[in-house]
Amino acid sequence: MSRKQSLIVLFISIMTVATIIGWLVGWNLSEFETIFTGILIKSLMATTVTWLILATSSTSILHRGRAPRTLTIALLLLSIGGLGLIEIVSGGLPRGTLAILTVQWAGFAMGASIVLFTILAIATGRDDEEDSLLAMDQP
Amino acid sequence: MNWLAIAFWLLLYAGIPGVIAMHLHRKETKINRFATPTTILVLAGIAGTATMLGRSSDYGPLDTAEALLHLSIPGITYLIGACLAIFGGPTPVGPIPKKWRRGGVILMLISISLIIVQTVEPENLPIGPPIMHEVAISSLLVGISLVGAIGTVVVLSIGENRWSAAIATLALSIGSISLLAMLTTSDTSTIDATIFSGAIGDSLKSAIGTSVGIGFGLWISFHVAIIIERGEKLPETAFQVTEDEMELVKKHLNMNIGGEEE
Repeated sequence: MSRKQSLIVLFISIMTVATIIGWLVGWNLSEFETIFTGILIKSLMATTVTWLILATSSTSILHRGRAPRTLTIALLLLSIGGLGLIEIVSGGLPRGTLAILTVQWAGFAMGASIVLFTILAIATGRDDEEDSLLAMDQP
Repeated sequence: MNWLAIAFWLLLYAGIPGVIAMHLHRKETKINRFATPTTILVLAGIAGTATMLGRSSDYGPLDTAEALLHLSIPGITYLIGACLAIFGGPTPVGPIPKKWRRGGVILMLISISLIIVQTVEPENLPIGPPIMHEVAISSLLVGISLVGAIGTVVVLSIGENRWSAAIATLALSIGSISLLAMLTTSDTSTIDATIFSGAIGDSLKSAIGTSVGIGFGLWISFHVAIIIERGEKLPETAFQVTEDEMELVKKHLNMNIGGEEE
């Protein structure tokens, strides 16, 4: 499979799974605006947290010149701007949103690592595999 | 959101990455010396604000911690099992008992069974379900189903025809979708299909929104960094090469490449 074909198949498979789950929970096209706004708010929150994490993790290189300082300030300002955008789009976030998002992110990370480690366990753990160095000692 | 809640979430999302970055500095630097005390302060701050907030009608830090613990039990069991399955048998540093691999597979199966029981009959477990049970379980299952589908395509497109790995990821994905279907259509007293439908829909929105948001955030930060760095003067790392040095280099090059004798 070429790289372009792989990307197309990847996109189709993600869309298929998302459509199946959406169908299970009863999403329909008449609710498109509500669903899109929900996705937009989550997306803005993820963007804001990404900028905040990048800004705070670069605070330890602030002494290395003007560029890291400018970058940290720019990222902090971007994250504050992101917070403002969330407030505008959502019209005031309901309480507990950050708690829900934290648990959801942990769930996604756990799900992703379960799949990744399954692939690694199967791909590396073959019974017919032999250590070539140990095999040299055998008659 | 009150000030204590703001302090808690800031310490979690800004304090923790900050202290991790401090710990990553070289040992002899001043910043690294301050890393451990700062970490203690941040952790104490997180614990203090969480305790002061306590339990409330909304989801708070304690409910989050409870749900994370609930998720981590099967998750960490699975990861330990997978590590044993990966590293059991012949390795570059010598053979590790093959029984480890079998033990790892058993741990992985136990963990999958635990996830199924947590999903279908959480009240039968010795540890009761947390308040945010439906959020935790739905996000875990949505994550496995989406990443399982991605994993299947990636494994098949690598070209080495690792069918067993592709079948396993596909099984994980289909199994998770089946559990999600069971949750949304169940009519038992223990599972409220309406609450779970809402939670699963919210998890799907979060999954799509998070992937788009992280990608967009990283893209913007990367370009901001390029713009800032482009305008900066490069630090002077070495003096300009003198005429004598250039002559010397040319002489050495001629001697080595041109075959000229000294």
